[in-house]
Amino acid sequence: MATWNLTRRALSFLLPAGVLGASVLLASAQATPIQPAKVSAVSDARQDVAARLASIRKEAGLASTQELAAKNADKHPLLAYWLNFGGIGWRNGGWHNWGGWRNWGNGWHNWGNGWHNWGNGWHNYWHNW
Amino acid sequence: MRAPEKPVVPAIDTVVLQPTPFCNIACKYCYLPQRNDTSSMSLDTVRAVFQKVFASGWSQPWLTVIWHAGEPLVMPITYYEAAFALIEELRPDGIEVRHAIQTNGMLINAAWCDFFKRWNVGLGVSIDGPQRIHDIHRVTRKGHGTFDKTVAGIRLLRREQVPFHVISVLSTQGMAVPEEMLDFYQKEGIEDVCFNVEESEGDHVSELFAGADLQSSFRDFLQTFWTRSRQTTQIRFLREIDGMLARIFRPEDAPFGNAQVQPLGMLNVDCKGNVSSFSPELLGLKNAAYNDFLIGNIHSDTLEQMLHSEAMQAMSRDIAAGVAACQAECPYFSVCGGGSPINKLTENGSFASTQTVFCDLVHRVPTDLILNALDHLEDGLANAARSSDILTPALGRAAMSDASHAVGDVDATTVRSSR
Repeated sequence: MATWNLTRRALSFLLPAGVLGASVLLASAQATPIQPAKVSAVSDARQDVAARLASIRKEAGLASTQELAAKNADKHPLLAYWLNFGGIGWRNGGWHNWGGWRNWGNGWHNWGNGWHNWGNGWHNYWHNW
Repeated sequence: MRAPEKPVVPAIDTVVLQPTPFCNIACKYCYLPQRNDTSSMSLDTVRAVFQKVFASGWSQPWLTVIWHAGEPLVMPITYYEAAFALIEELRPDGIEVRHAIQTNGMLINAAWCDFFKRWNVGLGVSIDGPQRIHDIHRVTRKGHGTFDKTVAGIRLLRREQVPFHVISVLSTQGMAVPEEMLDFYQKEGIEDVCFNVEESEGDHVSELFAGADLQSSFRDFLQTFWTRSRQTTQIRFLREIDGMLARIFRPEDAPFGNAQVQPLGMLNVDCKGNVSSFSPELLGLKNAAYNDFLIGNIHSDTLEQMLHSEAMQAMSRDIAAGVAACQAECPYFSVCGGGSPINKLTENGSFASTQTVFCDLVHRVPTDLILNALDHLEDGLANAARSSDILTPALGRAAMSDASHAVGDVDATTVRSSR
């Protein structure tokens, strides 16, 4: 049976957006109430936290996810616009303030524990600097 | 028969130096016990630290040096000029060093701005929000508010185009007003924001931590701040959320670790050359079981001796036991890596323990918010795919087409049952 993994699909939008773009996208999503009638079957299948985190990491590492993400980055420069005015999102014009897709830079290289982590206090999990 | 355990090779990720324990103010929630002490770290001590770190072969290729006191800027610029130049002289090829300073911002002037820029210093300024909130806790020894001088420092940093982030300690008052906090950052042009909930640490006992509703209060605060801040363009980095995103959405094989629970992962040195490891807040605290958390002195001991000292062995054993317990029982371990030893000790009375209130605030609340948002996003995508005709037509069709291409023919039933 054909399957459409929703996590993979979401990651394909989140990963090319970079950290700031993903933060914006998720903030928009979490602020939007879900219509219960449409999502009850999906919600029933929610996993516990550890399994959910593991499945995200698994999907994030799949070549197919990364291919889909690359394709989304190229194919949907107006994705943000769509998310705002058509699907989830603020519906108040918040998205189009940012001047477009992929203008946010990309913070995912935090994974490498490198230079780009510096200055925000997270990489060693010490919070007092 | 068990194979002999391989010796663990330390990886020094961060060096925390205390140029002086002295602080020019007396915040009501400060955990530092010696902030009236005007001693200072000699350049000989700086030299000894980096000679030993670089000679050890244990430094990470990117080494963060945090000057954290006390108030680091009570030391003159000439001191840091000499210290940074000395470290640069000693630095071997293959290791990059970046300096960071956490300051209350009150002493920042044009000369400091020039220094920060020349050395690309990662600068953090402690400010708790608008004046009525900041001045509740961040006061001089005479009890006067420090807001005016701190915000003057921030404005100068902006004028001089010095990048910086702020750390705001959230106490009861700040936690109640996320919109007011956001308005303040926007008004002052602050772009990178970190929140520390006022916690019980060292000798300081937080009233907030004793409150029954702390976790839900912080969740409400963070959710509102996150939502509102992302409706504007100004806040570029919200540490509590954006830092966690990179941990949640990492591939399984991405490097991941918690230097705060690794022996010598963080090397913390006071102005007299005394050395501790793990959480920097341990340096200066008293504890008979762990030799006051001191593993040696940089002038008299090698790093090898420190690694094998009794205190280090005892702390390593107990901290590792705590991390192992976290791994066994905590669903958030993959985004945390074993927590913060100082908080385990302060809150639970033992390194060999697990969940703390600090964990709840720093790891659980942001993770739950992000996972909840991801759920909403996935549901929104599923709904959109099922009803693309109500969406902006061209983009709706594009999304459906893309989805079909990726998975073959998809209908609403398979979307619903595929998670």
